[in-house]
Amino acid sequence: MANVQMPRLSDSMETGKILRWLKKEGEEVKKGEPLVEIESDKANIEVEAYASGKLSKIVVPEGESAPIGAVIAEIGGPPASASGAERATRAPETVRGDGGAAPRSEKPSAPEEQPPAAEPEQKAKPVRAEAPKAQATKPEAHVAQAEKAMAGTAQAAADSGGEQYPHGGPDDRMEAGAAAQAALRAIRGPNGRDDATAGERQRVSPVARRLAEEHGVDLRQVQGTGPGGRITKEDVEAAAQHAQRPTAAPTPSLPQRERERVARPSGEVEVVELSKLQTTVAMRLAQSKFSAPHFYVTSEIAMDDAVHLRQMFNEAVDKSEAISINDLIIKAVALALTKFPEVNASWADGRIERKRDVNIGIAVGLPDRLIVPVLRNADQRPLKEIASESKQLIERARTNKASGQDYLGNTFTISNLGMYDVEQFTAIINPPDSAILAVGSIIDKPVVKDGQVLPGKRMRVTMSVDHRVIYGVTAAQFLQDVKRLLQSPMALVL
Amino acid sequence: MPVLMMRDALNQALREEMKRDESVFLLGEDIGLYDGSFKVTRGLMKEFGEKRVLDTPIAEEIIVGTAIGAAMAGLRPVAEMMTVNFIMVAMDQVVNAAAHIRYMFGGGTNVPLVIRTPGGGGHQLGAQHSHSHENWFAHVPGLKVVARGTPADAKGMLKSAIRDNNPVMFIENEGTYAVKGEVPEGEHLLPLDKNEVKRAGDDITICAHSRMLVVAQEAAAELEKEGISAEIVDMRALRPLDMAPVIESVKKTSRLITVEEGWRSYGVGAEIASRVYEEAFDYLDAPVARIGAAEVPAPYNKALEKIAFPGKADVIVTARALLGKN
Repeated sequence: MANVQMPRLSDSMETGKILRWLKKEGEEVKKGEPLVEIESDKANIEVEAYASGKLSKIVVPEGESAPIGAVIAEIGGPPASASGAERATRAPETVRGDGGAAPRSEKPSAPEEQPPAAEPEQKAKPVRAEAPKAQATKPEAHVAQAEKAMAGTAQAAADSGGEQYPHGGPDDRMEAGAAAQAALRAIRGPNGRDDATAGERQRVSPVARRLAEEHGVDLRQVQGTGPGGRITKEDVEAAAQHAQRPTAAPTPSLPQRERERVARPSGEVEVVELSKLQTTVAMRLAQSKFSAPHFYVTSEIAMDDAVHLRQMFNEAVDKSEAISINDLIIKAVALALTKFPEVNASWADGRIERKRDVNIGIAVGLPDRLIVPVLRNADQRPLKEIASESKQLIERARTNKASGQDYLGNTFTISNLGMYDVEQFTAIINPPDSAILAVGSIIDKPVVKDGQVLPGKRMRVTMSVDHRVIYGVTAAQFLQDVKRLLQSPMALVL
Repeated sequence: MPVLMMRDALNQALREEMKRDESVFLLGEDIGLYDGSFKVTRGLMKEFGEKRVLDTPIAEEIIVGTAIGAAMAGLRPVAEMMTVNFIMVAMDQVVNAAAHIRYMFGGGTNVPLVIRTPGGGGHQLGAQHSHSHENWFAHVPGLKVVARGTPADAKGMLKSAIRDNNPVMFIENEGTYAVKGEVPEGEHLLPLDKNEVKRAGDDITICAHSRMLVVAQEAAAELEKEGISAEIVDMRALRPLDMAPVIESVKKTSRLITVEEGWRSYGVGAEIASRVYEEAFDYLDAPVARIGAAEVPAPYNKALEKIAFPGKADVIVTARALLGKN
């Protein structure tokens, strides 16, 4: 059987009045035949039957009104042994005036005994309810949710005849519809949350940027937790809070919480605070190693002639003018750089800058710090001058008397651990250079020369190279040139 | 305070203003004998007579043109457009005449006109009956545009609109005529240029007007259960657009969702977002999220219609996304 419900005949209709039943109780009705004449707030309208069968019961008699959705008649006999689920599938047969008024029948049918959740003004009590009513939500529940300022607004759902819910029932949609898609794309990016690809500009919300500046938080040290990895207000506030703790390092850029995390398990870790210089060194090295793609080229150089040359040179000059092997290496590197401008260059934000001057940084290790004084225009200076200036630079660095100028302008750096009995090592490029030469000790070893094993003095050097700026072949050729100059060192003293 | 439905609050405002001022009269389709398509003018023809409540032909351009002329001649007409979708044929009168006359005549004449008209969809009335066009009018200097979401605001703003000496587009919504709320009795006047925080919150700001205010309210109640505290700013004053409460709120929450029933493109949310970027950029923690109707003519199909218009789920999901909680 099918219920005939009061249809929604106009947008503003709340109840409809039965003017005339066009069929009598017990009469056969065909689907599509005029069944009842109803007066809405807009017009008198003949409503057709949406199902065929016997008009078994008229629930709302002529002259009486009923709210939208109320059962006004029944067509067909009493239900066979149909289960609730089967009846639910037959719900579309329910007579409807138009689609807008019919309650959605997604839930299974109510048990027969249960009266429909009636409209407040409903007069005629239907005997049976086949389809659930849209007004299942109790007004009280809405009131509880509503804010005082809007008191009663949401309550209207219950007695509005459905107008509060234009889609014919409470808004029970749980998924975002088309209305939110563009906004969600804007928030998450076109590919959802994972579109923050490597190398992309760090995402920082405007308020996070402002707060970071106010609190002196280094955004490079902050991990973003927002959509797409964006650094949010909360991220910066958390970082600022850590920085404000009394035990915090003078600069927030070194991760205090990282140290705490490490220290906690054993309880025996000595926390060493860094000086400002150490902090800077740490940051610059990390930045270099993690941003410049390093590769390494090693070469073994026969230093017999260079050692001999140095000996002769030092015998010929005053002791104060003595040169070191490192001075010879500086000169050799500087001369090679003039031939390889592509090595004497910097990575500059997506471009390469080639430097006209050849300025060699000399890494100086001190017990508590690492410093790199710069020997300017090394390619143009005689060996004697290179020797005396590097001596002064290193001395000033050791005694903390260096000026800021001493550390500026390096285009290539040499790190020499030869005096510490090191066969070879790799170094981290010293920004803004694109390469650094790590120099090992000169070691007496057997070498094969013209088919004979002879004693030889060999030194291994390893160049670390920023692959963005310099390619492998160039690096190898450059190193060959350095090797040639050191193995035939007369050019160094000319 | 008595609780009234939106339509009755509007009716009360009209009745009070007509009693107070003889120059106030109403005109529109089916507003007299039939009491109005949405029963806002119920009983007014009976009470004030056919001279002050005019049933007009279905001719929107003539309705608005007549009202403009009457306004220039010293009356205070309140014209009803059955829905905002039908006002298109009268746009020349609204924009080229009503909005510009005072300016073009050097202030020599006023146009104290109110055009009441509902927008909104969701009733399976198809693409020619379901849209919201308040942004069309809010674009035009010379018009005032308001779109209330509560019965109290409806009364207070309609009374003020009738007393205003400029043309006021008084935008209603078909889905809100049955919304109930407390309405102050008697002389209740609200400014036409003041937006208002309707719900206080800390985590996120939601700007909404008209029926979307109700949607925002429902969404905020759900979000509260999830521990997300939403502040709702009622954007009832669209032109002039009162941004002060929005800016203040965004400075607190750093996140903004705008919700409108009309299309998103070139919409109310677009304007609000631009103003926020201009005035509170350094306070934002995420891009402004704009929710609006799908960029299609309103579907007739019930299921499609339901997902084409913004609902509380759209607001909830967007709020979670903005807060990175999904």
